[in-house]
Amino acid sequence: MSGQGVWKMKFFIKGDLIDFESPIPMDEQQLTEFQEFMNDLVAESPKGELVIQEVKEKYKTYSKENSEKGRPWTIQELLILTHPKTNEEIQSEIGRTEMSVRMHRAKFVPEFMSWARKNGYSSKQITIEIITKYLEGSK
Amino acid sequence: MKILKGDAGNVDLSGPIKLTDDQKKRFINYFQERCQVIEVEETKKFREKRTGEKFFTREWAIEEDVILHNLTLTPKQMMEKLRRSEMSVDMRRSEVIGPILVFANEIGLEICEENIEEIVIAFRKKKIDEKEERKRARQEERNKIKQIDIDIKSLESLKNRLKELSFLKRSIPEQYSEEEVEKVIKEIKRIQNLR
Repeated sequence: MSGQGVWKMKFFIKGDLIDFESPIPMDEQQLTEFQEFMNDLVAESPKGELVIQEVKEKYKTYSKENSEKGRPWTIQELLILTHPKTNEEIQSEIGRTEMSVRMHRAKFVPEFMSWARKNGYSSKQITIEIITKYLEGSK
Repeated sequence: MKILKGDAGNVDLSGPIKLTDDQKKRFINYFQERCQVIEVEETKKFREKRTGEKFFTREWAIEEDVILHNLTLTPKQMMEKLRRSEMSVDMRRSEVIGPILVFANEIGLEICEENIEEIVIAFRKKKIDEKEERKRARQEERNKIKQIDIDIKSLESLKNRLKELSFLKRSIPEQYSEEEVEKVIKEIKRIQNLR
């Protein structure tokens, strides 16, 4: 909430009630500022009192390592990931699971495209040689 | 008024809060000054679960998807800019990278820094239009089913009315109407044709 980010906040309203769509990420300083703001706001109401309650959140465990386990990706497969094909098409072409294709595409394509662009390669002319050069550079 | 402070850094309200129009405006402005993308939606029902009771996900705004495809940002910078976790960024990327590559190819644009914003916005707009279309089709389907239910219910009463008219013809002819009989039969046939 520093004002430097681009993120979305949605409110729901019904009559004079307002609510967040979902919890809002805040660091300690942002929470302090929010608390001060809310204190000012509730002070206007006669029964206004602000209480902060600490809660333990529900997590989803995520391990990047686990999502990248499995057989190594060949350069030919990486090339296919950059093609304008659906995940399902690629999945059947290279014989990997859809999740594996999706996750590796997400990891590889943006970084590779960024590198390719910087090095003057068009995304429509990607070859095995270019990918090899990228992989050598990122070692 | 209670604010819930989650141990993973998420802050929530313990429930919807009652504010005057002026307070509501100030409340929304407070966040508007800090996060750029604000949406306010009328609702019939507020969510029951609060932080700590379930794992929450946030919808991705078009502006966030543009950042997600910013080829100049490192993953760390991206997470900071979007205020999202590594998992959230990875999962979203995994959802949209493939479809965006296909879409960019369909509209004949090359994915690069200069036009990624244009591609992402056009892609999201297409997805929103498709979603709206699906919603409209579902609603149309529901309306049809609802109408069939109404028609089926009215079929019974139409048949009864026909019997009544037949009785009237025999016993109280002055209350009998040939025109009504035709109308009822026409309606019965219309409903039977729906099958």
